[in-house]
Amino acid sequence: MFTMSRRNLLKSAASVGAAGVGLSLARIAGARAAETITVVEWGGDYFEAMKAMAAEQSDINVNWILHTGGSAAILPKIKAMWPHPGIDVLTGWDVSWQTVAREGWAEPVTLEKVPNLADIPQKLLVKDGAGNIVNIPRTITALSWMYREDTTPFEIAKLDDLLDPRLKGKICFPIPTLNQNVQMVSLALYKGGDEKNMEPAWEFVKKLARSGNIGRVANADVDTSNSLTSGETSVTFNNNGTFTELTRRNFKMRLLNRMDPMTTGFRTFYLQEGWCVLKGGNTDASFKLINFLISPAKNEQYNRIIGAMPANIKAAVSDEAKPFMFNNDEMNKYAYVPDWSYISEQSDAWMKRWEQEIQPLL
Amino acid sequence: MRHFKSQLLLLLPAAAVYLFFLVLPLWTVIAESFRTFTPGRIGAVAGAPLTVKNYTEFAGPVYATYFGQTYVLAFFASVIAIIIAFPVAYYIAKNASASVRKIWISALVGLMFLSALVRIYAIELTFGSVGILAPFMSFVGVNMNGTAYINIIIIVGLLHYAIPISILIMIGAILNLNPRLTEAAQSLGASAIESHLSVTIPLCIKGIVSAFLVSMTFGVSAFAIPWILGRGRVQFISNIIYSRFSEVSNYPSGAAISIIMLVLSLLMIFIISRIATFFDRT
Repeated sequence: MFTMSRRNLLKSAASVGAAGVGLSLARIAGARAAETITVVEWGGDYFEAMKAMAAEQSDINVNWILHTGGSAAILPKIKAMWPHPGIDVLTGWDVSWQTVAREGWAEPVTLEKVPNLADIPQKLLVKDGAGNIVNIPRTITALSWMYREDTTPFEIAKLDDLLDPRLKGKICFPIPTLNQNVQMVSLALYKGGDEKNMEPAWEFVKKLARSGNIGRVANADVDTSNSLTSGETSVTFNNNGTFTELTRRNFKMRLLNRMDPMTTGFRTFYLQEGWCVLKGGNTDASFKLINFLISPAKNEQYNRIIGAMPANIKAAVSDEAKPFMFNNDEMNKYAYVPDWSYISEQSDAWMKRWEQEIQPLL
Repeated sequence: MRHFKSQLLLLLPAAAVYLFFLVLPLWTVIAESFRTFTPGRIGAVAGAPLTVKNYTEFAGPVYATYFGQTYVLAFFASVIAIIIAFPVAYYIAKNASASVRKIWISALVGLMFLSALVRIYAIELTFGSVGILAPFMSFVGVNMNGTAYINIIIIVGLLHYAIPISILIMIGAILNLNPRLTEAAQSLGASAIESHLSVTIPLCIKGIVSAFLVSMTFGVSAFAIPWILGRGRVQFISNIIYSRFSEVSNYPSGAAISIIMLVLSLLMIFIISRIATFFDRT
């Protein structure tokens, strides 16, 4: 029985204190056993999937940071903190890797450090000026035009249909910094240009802006999914992740791919997403975790969750990702892989042109 | 002399804070704004040549429109906020009992703590093109896809912050008002409206100007409100600054537009303060 006295109180306090110190020491010992790294990851399903898979191993603890806005938004923060960015692993895609390579931030990737890299197609690897690999791909992402069938007043058959007055306020058009502006590259290709000759695309977008059909300009993927799910807009250009997410939520989505690009203008753009290990941090632990995550089983599991195509050739493709999976013949016919290195240098010029020529027309 | 030295010593910590956290970062921004940007890089590379191009590119009429849009919408929101806030502040300061005043002030302060995003999405869900009022708006013939409507919704978004802060600022000014001056005006034959316009408002002018300036400052620097409620079709200068720094990594251009905005804002504060001083004297 506890008797209320000064001595008993002091004894109890000392016992609680000792127990607390013991627990803290145990926690510190546990933390020391596992190394901790900081990883920048996409939000939503991407983060949930990665968090769940990282929790399946106990060697490395992860301190997660989420991207805000496009993948480029984190780069100035790294530059400001360099050479001590406080980030070990950066998630990004083709265009990010071009910048990372130019800035010289990436710890070179080798087969010794990441043995599972052997199962990743060489074509997906980005190299810096010195010939070092800077990225570790995990996903093949497809970008294409898509629309909500239940809120679109007619069946969209070609890019020119975007100018149809029945689509007043129904288009969610991504800003040039989103998807690295390949939505406009698709317009350029349709009208006889390409990423290096964007004039036809600018002319088309001017007409589109004047038509009043652009209901929202998306600054981030979340703008696109919010706009489509709320019914504010119906037509957009986005990645397979958004398409899968909306389909899973029972929205009647139609993907505009596998259509003759010469007559319809609908092309699918492919890019690879993955990781880059930054110099100066806990690189060994980072490579160890990444090697675990791109093993065939884990890569398959991750891409099944996000509805995308695995970068590891030994991983199976989920049913949800199959609409985006092209064979060689289809790749030649319907897909387009732009010059990402060139595109990565155009962001500033394209964004200024948008501000000067398109935004005033909206 | 000794007194002066001790005063100087007491000022040192504050001066050091200003120097390290305001002057030094501002100097970095100014220096960056004169550097040449290389596309594809992040910010200006070390030793980049000096240029004034980052400033001259904002001289065109298109960017004048962006500045105009930002300042005009913020101005209208601030004026509307003052018009709505003054009577409320007057009631709280002069007519409400001590307990009712406490409730009002607690509610207003509480409102300031409400997340900006919650307010913005509340407006979007109510007045947006698929909001709960959309059927009514369509019925009365409002074009919810039009630029005018979007601008009005942005002003509504700005008012969500401007009204409570204006009320809180003006309560202080009205509480300091000597009621005998109004009574004197009325005893000399002025009507209630005349005494209000010729005595109460001029005596509260400093509070009104303070509330206006705080609302304007919030308005011109608003980021999430035009971003979400503007549907990406309306851009404030803050959105362009963010895009330059974060999306295209053109620090020099972002720094230049930030400096232009700073100069314009200082100019605006100077002009409004002069006007307030003029009214105060007369």
